[in-house]
This record gives sequence, structure tokens and C-alpha cells, in this order.
Amino acid sequence: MNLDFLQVSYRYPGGKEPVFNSFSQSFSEGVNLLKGYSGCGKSTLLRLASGLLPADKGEIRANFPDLAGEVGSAAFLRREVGFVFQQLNLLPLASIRRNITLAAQLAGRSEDNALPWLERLGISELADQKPTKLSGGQQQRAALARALAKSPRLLLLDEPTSGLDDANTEIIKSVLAHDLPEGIVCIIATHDARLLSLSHDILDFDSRLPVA
Amino acid sequence: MTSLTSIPAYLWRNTLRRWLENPASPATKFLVPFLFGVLALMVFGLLRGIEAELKEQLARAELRTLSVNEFVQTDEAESRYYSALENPSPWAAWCETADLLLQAPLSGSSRYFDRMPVIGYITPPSFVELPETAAGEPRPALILSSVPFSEKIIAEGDYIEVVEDYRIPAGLADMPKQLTAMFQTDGIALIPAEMLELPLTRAHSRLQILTPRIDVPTQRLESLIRLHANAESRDLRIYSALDIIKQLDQITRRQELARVLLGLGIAVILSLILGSLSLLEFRQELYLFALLRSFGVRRMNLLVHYLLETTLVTFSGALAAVWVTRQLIPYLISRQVGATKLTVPFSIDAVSPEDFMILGIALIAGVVLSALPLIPGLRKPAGLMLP
Repeated sequence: MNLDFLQVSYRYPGGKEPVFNSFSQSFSEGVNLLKGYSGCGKSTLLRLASGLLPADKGEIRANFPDLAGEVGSAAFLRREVGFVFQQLNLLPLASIRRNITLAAQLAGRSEDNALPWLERLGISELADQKPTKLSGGQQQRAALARALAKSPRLLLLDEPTSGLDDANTEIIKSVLAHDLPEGIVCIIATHDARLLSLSHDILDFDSRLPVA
Repeated sequence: MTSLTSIPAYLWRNTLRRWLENPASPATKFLVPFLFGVLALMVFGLLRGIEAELKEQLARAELRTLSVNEFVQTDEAESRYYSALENPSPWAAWCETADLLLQAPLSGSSRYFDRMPVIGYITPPSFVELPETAAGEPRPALILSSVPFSEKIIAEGDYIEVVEDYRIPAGLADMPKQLTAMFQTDGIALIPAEMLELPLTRAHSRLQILTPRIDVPTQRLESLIRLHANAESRDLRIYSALDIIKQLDQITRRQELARVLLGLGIAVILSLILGSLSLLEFRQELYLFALLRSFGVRRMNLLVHYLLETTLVTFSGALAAVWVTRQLIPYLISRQVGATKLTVPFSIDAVSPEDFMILGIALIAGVVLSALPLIPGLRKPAGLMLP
């Protein structure tokens, strides 16, 4: 299984320069790291990969067996994608448990498989709390639990450890290193050096030639 | 909870939070259809009430019947009284029946009523069955509409007091519809004209109830009477069912126009107000909607939630309008006029399902149109809206 960017171009509405111009890249199973300076396009790449942003040109192809839908379709987002945003974006009115079960239900997954992620990430005792009652590190872990609860085949993490202390970072790193299901394509956008040991597949945006 | 119910449940919870945080918005969405609903139902009810009253009048007045009223001046009363005895009316030749009644300038009383019109007849009217004497002669009649039939049977020995201590023995008769339409009283004294000679020769009103011959159209008879009246410079008032039919046609046309205009007006104004409100609210909701779309919730689900939410509040307002119009408006009007019942022909009960349907369609159109400004926002990629 892999996710391919084929000659993808994208420019933000009103933007002068394109963020990507005929960009091609293949992301394979396992952890893929994107690193680079702020504003280089890491987050944009994740949003293009999920289909939350539609490419202006080119194609993004998910080579998964029995694909739920085209990249960017509601079915693809619902069943195939687990996304941890930089701002986390937990549902504010729902408890952590509800955030997770809601995502699992939408993906058509069993809640029984979803809730153990809370335990693995060390926040099971906070399951009934609202996100606003949690610390930054706890929210970060809750967001990851929600993404994993969907049993996605494409896991997209945008700066999953930014601002976290070493203890919290270690928990997340451990889960990503040891607990990810087989056959998952995981793309992590980060400039946190503590995560670089997770993979040898590192796309270094710092070395990417400036786009014309 | 399943995926089918969990997202709607979350959206409703969010809606409730939004309403509690900003109650002005649902209050406006409630009040606008409420006020429009009350206005529309008042107009529909009033028009339906007038229509019902006219139909009732039409049912009372026979379609082919004409009534001709004329007030006879005091200086002519005597001569006109005696000429009526000899020649009831010049247009009787065109009529199947031409009943002439002379209303005396006084009121009578009986044991039932203190005041009732006193009417003299020259020949017994064709439309009322007068009580008879033992010899089979017609006799004066108390015509009553509000006394039960059983009481009428045991009322032998009744009388009409025309002037003080002058009591005319009378039998009882049922109120014919021709007189109901004309007098709108509960009792009438019908007495042979010769028994009222003195008052009638001083002043009287002539009331003629005419049924044209089968070969004479009602309209033709009406114009013939007017020609006669103009030639003799007489001031006649002619009433016929034709007037009621004309009024009914007018009411029907007005109802159709009112329905179309009110329906369109409500739909347009409601969509503008709800659309503006929704646009303001939607700016606050953009983030949540984008977040839910990132989970794979379809745009259509979010649009349907908006439509359901707006429909719920809007139709609550409309239902409240129906309740208020049915309960409070008649009460307020009766308080204002100091009467125990409405004096205007307003009838919410007469408002037809068709009228309610028009109101409902106008509201639904308003709700659907108000969703149009949301569509560009929903089409925007979620990735551009999420932080």
C-alpha cells in the first residue's frame, strides 16, 4: 500500500506563489517523516494527502486494496484517514470518550477496538473529561487516540509533539514506533528532532528546491 | 448510539448550546413566522368569515327572490295606503308572487318580546303559513324564530299589543327565511293591514318580496323596477341575491390575490431574514462544520441539519400563531368591543386546509431559500477553514 503524489500543483486562493508545483512523491507503508522550516508546506501536503484541500493539478492516488472512495471523498475521509491537526481540533462539547467513539462509529469501526487506545496512550482515566479540562499534552494524546480509533490506513500527524515535554513525547513516540497496525501509511510532519528516529523515510523540505 | 444518530445528536447539542448562548437568534426565527402567521391567518380568517356570512345570506335569500323597500313620506302615506289596497304594484304582472307588506311606524310587544316590528299585509303573504281562525280565516300572527316549537303549540291565547291596552289576539307561526333576511329580529308581528289603518295612513314603509315569472330573469325584473321607479321619481332600494353573488365573487378574487401575495411575501421576507441570520450564525459554525467534514460527514448532512433546525423553530412560530389566533385574538377583540362574541365576521375555524397549506409552503420556501447563502461556505474546502 502506498500514497502517491503525481505531478501535484497547489496554490492557496489569493496566494502569489504555488506551494507545490508538479510535485511527485510516493509514501509507502510505515512511518514517513516530513521535516522542514515553518511555512514550507508540510501541513499543506498532509491536507492534500487527505483530500481536505483539492489539488489544482495532478493526482493523489491511494493504492489501498478495497479503497472506500477517491482521495478527498467523504467515504475516504470517514474510513481511511486518521488526522491529528496541529491545533488538535477535538470536539469541544463532547468528552474524550465521545470524541473517540464518534470517530470510530463514523469509520464503521467497533468501539471496543477504539477505547483501548486511551489506555495505551495513558489517558483512560480522563475519558469522561471535556477536552478543555485537559492539558496540552493530554489533548495531544487524545487527538492521536481519536485518529487511531478509526483504524485508518492513512494516518496523518501534523506536529504531534509540538510543545510537549519529553515524557509526553516519549508516550506518543512509543505508540507510533510499536503499536501502529500493519500496513498503515503514516505521514508525520514535524520539526521535532526527537521524532526523527522513528523512520529512515524522511522527506526534507529544507532541501527541496524553491518552487518557481 | 450509531453513526446515523451520533452526528445528528452532536449537532443538536451544539445547536442547543448556540441557542442558549445567543437566544436572540432562535427568538427572531420564531417571532418572524409567528407574526407573519398571525397576519396571514387574520386575513384568511377575515376573508373566510365574510365568505361564510355571504354564503349564509345567499342560503337564506332565494336566488330568484327580489326585495324592494321604499319609505313613504308622511304627506303621501294616506294616498299610497289606499292605492296599495286597490293596486298592489305595477310590476306584479312579471312576478309569480308579489307580496306587499307595509311596516307601521310603531313597535309591538307580546309576552315574548317587548319590541318587535309591526307589519301589515293586504293579502296573506305567500311565504308564510298564517294561523287560522275557527272559521278558516287567516288571523294575525306572531312570527317567532327563537321560541321552541313545543312552546308554540301551547301558545293559544297569545296576543300582540300594538298600542297600550290595544291587544290583538294572534296565533303563532314560524319565521320564513324571507323575513329573517329582511328584519334580523327574533319576533315579528304580522297583522292584516285594515287592523292598522290609522298608523299606516300616517307613515309606513313598503316592503315587497317578489319572485319573477320563470320566463323573466331576475336581472330583467330588477331593471324594469328601476325604470318604473325613475319614471315616478321614487326612491326604491332593491336587494337581490345577485348582489351577494357579486360580493362572493369579489371575496373569492380577493382571497386568491391575498393568498398569492401573502404566500410570496412571507416566503421572500422570511428567506431574507432567516438567510441573514443563518449567514451570521454560519460564520460561527464554519469551524465545527469543517471539522465534521474532516471526519467524513457529508455536506448534505450538515445542510439537512440546518434545514431541520430552522424548520423546527419556524414551524413552532407558525403553530404558535395558529394557537394565538384561535385563542387570544377573538378574546382581545371581544374585550375591546365589550361584546361577548366577535362582531367582525372573523373565523379561524373557517380557514381552510388549503390556506394552512399555503402558509406551510411559504414557510418551507422561506426556510429552503434561506439555506442558499450557506452553500458557498459548505463548498469551500474544509482544509482552508481548519486551523
